[in-house]
Amino acid sequence: MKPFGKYRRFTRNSISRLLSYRANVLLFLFGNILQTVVLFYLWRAVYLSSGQAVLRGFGFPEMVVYLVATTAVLALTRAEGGEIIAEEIREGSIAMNLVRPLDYRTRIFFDALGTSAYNLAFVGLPALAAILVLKGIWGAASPDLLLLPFLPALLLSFLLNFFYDFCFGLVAFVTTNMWGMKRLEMVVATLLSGGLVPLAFFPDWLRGFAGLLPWASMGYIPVMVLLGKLQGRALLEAFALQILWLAFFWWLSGLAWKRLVRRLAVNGG
Amino acid sequence: MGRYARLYLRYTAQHLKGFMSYSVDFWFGLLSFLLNQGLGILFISLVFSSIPNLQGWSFFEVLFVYGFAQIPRGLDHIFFDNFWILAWRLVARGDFDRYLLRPLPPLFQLTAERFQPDGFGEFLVGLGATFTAGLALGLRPSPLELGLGVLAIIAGVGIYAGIKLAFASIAFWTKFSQSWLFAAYRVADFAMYPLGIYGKGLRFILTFVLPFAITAYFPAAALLGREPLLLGSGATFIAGAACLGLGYLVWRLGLRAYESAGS
Repeated sequence: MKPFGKYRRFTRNSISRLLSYRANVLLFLFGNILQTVVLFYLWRAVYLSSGQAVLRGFGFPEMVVYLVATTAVLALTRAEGGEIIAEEIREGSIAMNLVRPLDYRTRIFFDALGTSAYNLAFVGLPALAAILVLKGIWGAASPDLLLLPFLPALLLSFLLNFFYDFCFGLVAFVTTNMWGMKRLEMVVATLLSGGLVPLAFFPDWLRGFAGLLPWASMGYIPVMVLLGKLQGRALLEAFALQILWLAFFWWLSGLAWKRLVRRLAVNGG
Repeated sequence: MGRYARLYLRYTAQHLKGFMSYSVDFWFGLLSFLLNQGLGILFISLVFSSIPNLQGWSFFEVLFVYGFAQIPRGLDHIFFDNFWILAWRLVARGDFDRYLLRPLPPLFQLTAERFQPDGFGEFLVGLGATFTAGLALGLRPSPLELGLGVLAIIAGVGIYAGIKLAFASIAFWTKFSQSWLFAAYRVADFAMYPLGIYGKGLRFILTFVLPFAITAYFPAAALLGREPLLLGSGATFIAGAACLGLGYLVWRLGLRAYESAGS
């Protein structure tokens, strides 16, 4: 028997679902690219006005690679499992899915895998191509990319995101306004994962602390690894931090799930 | 006219009653938009911590433009949020039929049906940022400038609403169009910063194709004395009227093409 045989079709389903709404998905992507373009022009103006080639350790070519890489990493790792859970709780269809002989968390995981595979094809690879083209244009001024340690960092970030997002989706058991919760969460996550500015631009008192929080492990660390900013001991520490948060959210998601499902069963009568 | 005003209030009261029963949702929504806009201001101040000015624009001037941009955006969000629902599910689920069965103009019903207090998040942050920056810059607008500024905000709401209506109406042909709307809204993000930082092509698009720059940059810069006042106000009215007209045209064409989802 194939490993995860019965779960694999969830991955396939989620890919074909995305493919059938291709125009929609691509327009959303286009919207996100536009956001990166705004930031590109803003940073260009910042570097032109500063009169300096390097700000907080970032040269302009590096900053552009940072922007593209951050967009790609966030698209690749941001799981949608939480939304599926929230939707099923709202509709009540979660009851049906609990009856099925499938592990719920594993099923959601394989569903999220489909989204990420899709994003790898439509965001990850184009972003990588864009970065390589930019590197060609800038030549020696551009940063050296470290793909080898980047891939495990990206994988850890993906797994961490999944379990974190699973926990977040379970909040739907408690509140009806997931939309507002999600927006709040996104504000925090965007800021602390370096989606807006590199954490290096934060004021001193916040920088060190923010680097230890789970969001930094989700977005900032992989990008910094790619840019070669974390090497040697710092690289190992970053991996350790990612693994620590992954273990924590893996444990928390299992525990929260068990507790909440028991409560659901009681209420459902 | 009076009848419509009365009806609008009735609709809004109904909608607010719904909100009251989920008051936590209401505060979450408002808070999330407040924080979201606060994030934008935080971003500007973090960026400014390493530069003296942004291509000749001081921190408070940039803040003024950013804040001004949020005001029409927030107002549009408060009053015309239901266009998103049109793009998202009204056509796809066949819910649009009910507008056609009632003895009121469908566009009025669509607009009146939803009053979105979340928009106050943007509106208040925008107002706060604009006033703070204006005070810090020692701005003393004449009554004429003040009046034109207020009119420019109203026209800016028209630009947003018109563009939103046009893109949402695409749903009449494609069943849903929220991704179109989302992409168009991301273009509006360009309007929050001084126009000079962008390349020529982008500046042209933001002024003449999807004229979001006219909702914020031109009137704000005019009040700062960096663009002619006539351009800041006149362009806004023309663009507002043009966008509303175009949005209405696409809406009419869409209504003609509409086929219910039916089963």
